Amino acid sequence: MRYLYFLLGTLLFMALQSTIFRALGFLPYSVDAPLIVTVYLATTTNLLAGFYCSVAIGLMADMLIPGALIGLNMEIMGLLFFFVYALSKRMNVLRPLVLTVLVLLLSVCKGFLVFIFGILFLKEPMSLLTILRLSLPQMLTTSIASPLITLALSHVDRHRKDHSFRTLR
Amino acid sequence: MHRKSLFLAPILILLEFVIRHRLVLSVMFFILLPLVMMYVQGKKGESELGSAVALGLFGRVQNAISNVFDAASDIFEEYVALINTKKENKALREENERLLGEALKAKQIAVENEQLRKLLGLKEKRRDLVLAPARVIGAEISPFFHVVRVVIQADDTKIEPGMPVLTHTGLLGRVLRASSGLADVMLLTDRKSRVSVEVLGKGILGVAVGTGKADERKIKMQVSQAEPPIEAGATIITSGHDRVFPRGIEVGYVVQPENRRIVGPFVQYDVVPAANVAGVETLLVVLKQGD
Repeated sequence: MRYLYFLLGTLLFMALQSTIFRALGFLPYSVDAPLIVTVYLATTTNLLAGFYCSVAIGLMADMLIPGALIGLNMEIMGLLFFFVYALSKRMNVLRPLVLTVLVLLLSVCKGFLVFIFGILFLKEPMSLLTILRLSLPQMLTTSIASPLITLALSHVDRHRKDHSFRTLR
Repeated sequence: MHRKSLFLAPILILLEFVIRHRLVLSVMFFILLPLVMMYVQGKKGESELGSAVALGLFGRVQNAISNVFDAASDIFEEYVALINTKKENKALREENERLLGEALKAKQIAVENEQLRKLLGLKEKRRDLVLAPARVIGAEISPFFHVVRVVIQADDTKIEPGMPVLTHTGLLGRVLRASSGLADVMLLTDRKSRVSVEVLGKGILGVAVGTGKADERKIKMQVSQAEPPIEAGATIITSGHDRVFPRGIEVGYVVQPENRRIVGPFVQYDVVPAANVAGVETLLVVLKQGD
């Protein structure tokens, strides 16, 4: 049930962004919600359930982004989940400053992965510099918004009775 | 009996292996599945099932949210207008306010009417094209794709990938994928966009190529080095040679020809697209082109 909340919440958030942000003209500054939710899942859930949920969120992102290569976000979220999961065993990544820096680094990593998968699977891939330059506003917005969104997610978690997530260290 | 057990043994071993390592195997499956999906999509293009799920299911969610947002913003606008009227009531006479409000409303309606009239004009002018109206419900939230999602407003209209999309000012792009009344439209500015064009009145042929840059509303036009220089403000229209876009649709205008660059065998000019998706709600999809 908890994972369903995450899936539906992310779906709603992304759909809202793609429609409302367009109307308001904020599209380049949209938050990469799947990335933040993946980080949160990697920190607070067990390995397999979190991984499946992250992959599902990636698939949803692929479906919601018009023109996206289906499977791209799915793969990226799966890989980033493992990375954050391993990292969360060593340190508390949910502290606001750490989280902001981590999300920024993960956004850059995502840019690298988009570049690599673009080379592998697209006929006309973008250059790495272009990808990083285009996604810079989104990277910054996402990293700045990540502590707030994570706080909201943990708030929702705390008020649910059927929660069973890993203890925050 | 002995032969039967020999046949079953490898299957049982395999089954036991799968059960024992089911967790690792399932993780590997979900790591490999997206790679296969990307490979298939990159090789063969968008699959029918992918389009149906992306547009049929997720597009509907976007459409619903877009409708709710439109309704909410209408209510909000009405509320704000009401508050403003109340404040102005203190200073102005009631009759004047009513007239002012009506004038503003009329102005908005006039702008909307103007857009629709131009679309109608385009429809009248290009009787060789069968057009269907569409409404924008979502734009790209990824910086890598210049694509908007639209809902087709005419019932029983079959939209197919590749169909050109226009606004009242000119060519906007082409349908990338479509399913059950919803479509993703790749804009001219997308990196993958290619359109055969010509310079109006000059007969110079070329190709308009998207730059993929989010921060600038420009495309590039590549023409042969043998062609004479093109002056600023020259109108670029579709040539129809690509058999995708109908001939004679406005694509854009050449800007700063002094900044032209030599790219391989071509000269590359900057072109500002005639159509801008920002602020446009109604588009036209070219369903059929006449001979």
